[in-house]
Amino acid sequence: MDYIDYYKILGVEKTATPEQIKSAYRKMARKYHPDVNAKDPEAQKKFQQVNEANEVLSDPDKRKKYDQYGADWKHAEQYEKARQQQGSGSNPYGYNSGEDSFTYEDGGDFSDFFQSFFGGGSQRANGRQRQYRGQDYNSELHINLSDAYTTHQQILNIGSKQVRITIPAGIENGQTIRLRGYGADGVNNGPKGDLYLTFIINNNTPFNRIGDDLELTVNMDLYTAVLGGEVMVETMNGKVKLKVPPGTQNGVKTRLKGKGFPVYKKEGTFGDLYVTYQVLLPTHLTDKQKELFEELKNLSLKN
Amino acid sequence: MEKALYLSFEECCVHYQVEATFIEALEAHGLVEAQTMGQQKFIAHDHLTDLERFITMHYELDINIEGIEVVSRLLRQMESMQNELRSLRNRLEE
Repeated sequence: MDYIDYYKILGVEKTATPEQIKSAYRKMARKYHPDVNAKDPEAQKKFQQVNEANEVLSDPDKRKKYDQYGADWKHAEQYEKARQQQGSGSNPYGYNSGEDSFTYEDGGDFSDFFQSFFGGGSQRANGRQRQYRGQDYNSELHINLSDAYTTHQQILNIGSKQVRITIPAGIENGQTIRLRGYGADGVNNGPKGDLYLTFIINNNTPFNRIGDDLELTVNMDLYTAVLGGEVMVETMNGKVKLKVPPGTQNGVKTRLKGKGFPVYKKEGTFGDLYVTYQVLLPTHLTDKQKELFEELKNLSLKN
Repeated sequence: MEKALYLSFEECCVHYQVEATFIEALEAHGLVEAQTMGQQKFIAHDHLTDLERFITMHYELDINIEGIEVVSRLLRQMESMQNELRSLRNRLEE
């Protein structure tokens, strides 16, 4: 755990006045606040640092303690305990000031440095009351591509509760859905917050998913390619037999209409499956086979 | 209109400690959608997320209504571009 220079984070001098700190903080907050940044994890991180710096420097008691111990902060708690035992402690570092209190959606993590210095994150009681609707939660859900093929239900553990959610077929990797009312409880009878669930899809199938279409490469022996025949092709819902015309070239693509991925929230609509044939040439020929290929070659040359 | 799913402008002012004029200005600029019932105006619970964001922008970031209008529009554009980017990225990564 490293020492954090809160002055540096806000870009102010150690001698900065409360007004200068407030103004520096607002400037930084306009740049990094999650409400003016569209899902930018970097900005979110920066904002947490800025918020934490403000939390300390805008509070006279916290700022005093921070200044007092400085780089020697590791011993701060010990000094403090010793002082309190001498009878002079009256909780000098309570959280009781500040007009600007940001709440941010993930519940607001403070750094280890902050926590070891000031205890847990602050719950300011007398700042502007911003809470009515409950906080929103953000979470990730990892699912397999094969599961994303059908609309299905999944049980999630949200806090201590188990919640059954429906995942519509055709959800895309990285897509976020909002589950209304699955966030934190509201305050003063306010509505509950929402849960924003981002899906991370792991491809556990042989298919490549391109939007609503799927791609698959199918191997075929030389004889089927030359003479025509049938190949078995895997699809998301079982194998199908495909007729291969004689003289099928390597790399030829064929489209299986409606055998692709379901279109999100358009029940019964599917993309297509594109099958690319890869012709495998025979290797390790026997003498007899070699002889026959020579014969074929001579015949072809004559024509 | 189901009362439980709406919050009156007055209640908004109490819960969020903001002036009525601010909420009225948001409505006038088309930033929040209000429903009128009798003499009172209401905001659907569904739109409270937006309202809260505007309150933060105004009271904590010192952005005026016109600024909020621009920021909101740009954020919406960014969001739709991010979605497009995600789709394109998924195509490339497969």
